[in-house]
Amino acid sequence: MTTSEYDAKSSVLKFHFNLKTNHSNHSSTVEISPDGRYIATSSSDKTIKLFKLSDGSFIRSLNGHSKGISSVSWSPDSRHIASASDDKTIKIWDIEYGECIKTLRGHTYHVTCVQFNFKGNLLISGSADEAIRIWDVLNGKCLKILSAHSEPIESIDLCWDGTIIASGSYDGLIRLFDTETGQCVKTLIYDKGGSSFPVSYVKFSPNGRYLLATTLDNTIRLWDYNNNRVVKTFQGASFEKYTCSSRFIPSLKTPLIVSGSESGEVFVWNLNSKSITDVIKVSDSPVLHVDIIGNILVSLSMDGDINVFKVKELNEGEMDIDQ
Amino acid sequence: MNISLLDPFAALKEFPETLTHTLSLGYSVCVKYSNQGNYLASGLSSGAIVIIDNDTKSVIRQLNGHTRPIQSLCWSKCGRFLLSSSRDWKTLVWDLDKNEIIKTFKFDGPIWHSEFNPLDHNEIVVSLYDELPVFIDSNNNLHQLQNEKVLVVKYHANGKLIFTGTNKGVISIIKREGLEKVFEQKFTNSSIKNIVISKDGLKLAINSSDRILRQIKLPKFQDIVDPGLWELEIEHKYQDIVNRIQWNSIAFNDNSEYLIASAYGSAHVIYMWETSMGSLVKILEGPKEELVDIEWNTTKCIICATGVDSGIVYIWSLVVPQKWSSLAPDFVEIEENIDYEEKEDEFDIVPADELNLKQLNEEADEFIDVMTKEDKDARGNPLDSGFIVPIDYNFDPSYIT
Repeated sequence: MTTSEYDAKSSVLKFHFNLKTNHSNHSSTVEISPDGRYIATSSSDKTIKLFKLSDGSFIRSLNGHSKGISSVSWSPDSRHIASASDDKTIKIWDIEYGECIKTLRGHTYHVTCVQFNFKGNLLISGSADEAIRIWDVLNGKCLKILSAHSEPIESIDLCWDGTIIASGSYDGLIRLFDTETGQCVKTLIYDKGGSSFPVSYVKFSPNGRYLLATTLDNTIRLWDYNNNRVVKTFQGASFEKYTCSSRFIPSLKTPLIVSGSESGEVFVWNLNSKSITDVIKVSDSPVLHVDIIGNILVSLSMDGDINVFKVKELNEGEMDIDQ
Repeated sequence: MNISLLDPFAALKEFPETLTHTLSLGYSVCVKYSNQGNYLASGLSSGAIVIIDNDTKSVIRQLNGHTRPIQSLCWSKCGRFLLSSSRDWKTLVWDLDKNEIIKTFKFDGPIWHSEFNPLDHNEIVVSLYDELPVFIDSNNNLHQLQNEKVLVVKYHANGKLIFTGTNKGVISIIKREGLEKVFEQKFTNSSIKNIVISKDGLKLAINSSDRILRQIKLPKFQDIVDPGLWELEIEHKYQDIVNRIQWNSIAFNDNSEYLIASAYGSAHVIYMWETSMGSLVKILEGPKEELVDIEWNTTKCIICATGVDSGIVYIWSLVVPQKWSSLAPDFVEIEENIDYEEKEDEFDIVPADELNLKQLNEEADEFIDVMTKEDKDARGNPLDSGFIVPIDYNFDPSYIT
């Protein structure tokens, strides 16, 4: 696909370049390092691969897990990666030497998601064993086990100051936990119409007051969790089987929501008007993960295509037309 | 951000009541929380200083530079720099970002206490045993602070005044500009062991060897410029009349509504007074040993103290019970039974499409601000985490000397 084809269906995202992960099996996540220099991808081929974000050049792959990897998270110093694997362990990697420096054991089934807090002292992990664990990274010790779901946990996130953990599970619940005490402080469920759908992805808003949740009924909802209500619903993309991640594109005037779709597109919505601004076909396979830093957006499809986009500044005029 | 979601009756208590942690991380003689309350610096009798992470309650950094027990510790306001004094007659300034000593001052005798200017970590005051106190300016030049020997030095929260206390019970106030003594008052005949000043700068507490704690109301220094008009008035005196206990260490809480003190000898407890009426409100039951240094983490509502025999750091913190109603979205906790009247349409069967459409229409015009962060938490403390000590993942915390 050529550059002009991408731009044709896009008003916010401008295609920059693409690359292949060359994982030998399905790719699962792509994460940009906090310093914006690297991207890390993980795959069910048991490896993590590192690339330079500036030109997409391959740096190295990290080998050590005995089963596929579902999720990776960068430490705040951009020098370490935590990875969650189906082999029930979490590994902490030093990216400079490509070595595993710690292995955290405790989960009794596939580890599905992992996230560092912004201080880098705690690691939160969610698993198909229906529990969330809080780890002291330095000691490699599990500090707390939060068992509060009745189906696999698919996604976790921390609010910006790290004091609240949100989890989304296939049991249809979104739960919020207090990081310090490990207690459940809130439960959210969308069951209008009598039934709820599995929650596949959760993400806190930049200010931590709202929670974006993807459910497998092709819908993303923005929750005002303090008041137990949905304030925005985003439709158009398809989510029925896979976990497709979503991100906020921060902007004071016109914040946007971006998400991958199972139909192989990247979708962008205007957060307040809920209208779709961009639909970019990037692959024939599901777009499982998107990540953003500054004005650089990265998407990853299951068959290993990485697309790097630049986010254009939205000015007032464009917003008016949009509404 | 979590506090607004917790049970307000439990999470917004003003002081902790339960001993929750005992940390045996070397023999601790001196403890100090960073301003933001994320880290506890613990000075050990070996001369090492360990930085304890409040989230994990484990050591994330060990600072080796002193060879004798630590005498005093002080954090810079941002939390990046730490000032330490030890019985090896040295005062050091640590940069926790680069993990190195950036300043070393060697004295000719023991050091009582040293402190940063709360507004500028380049300025330091030091009180010395049998020597005149010293003011160190930002160019590392040493100046004589006062022409009398003092036991304690303490910066006022405004960073412009320095309080000193002598072994004759005299409190002096020195202007930082020009290092001129502008005020002097005698409060007791015995030695002043420590002084604490509240965060708002309006209360001073003196611990002296006559076994009495004196709480003094300070004038609003920014309003009354002329030192001749300053009046330091004793508001309350606290003492244990029956046992005549000597007090080891004292601390105010965040809004200076409470004063706590650890007691010498076999008391094993922390006394807590309410400062407006001057009444004893609580005796925190402690472990089976005498407590020496105490510290109140005001942001996180934690009290910690060191044990004299074991060097263990004891931590009292809030215990928030699980709210069962948060486990399901439609649960509500009620005080007593209520007669529930169902709503007219509560059990109506409405097609899912119709409900979804109603939801979409309701949310149509609302403007949602996902960017603006709150700047204060539910306790009123700033939501600024300050300097974050970088984690060295290769550090082995099992080795503490």
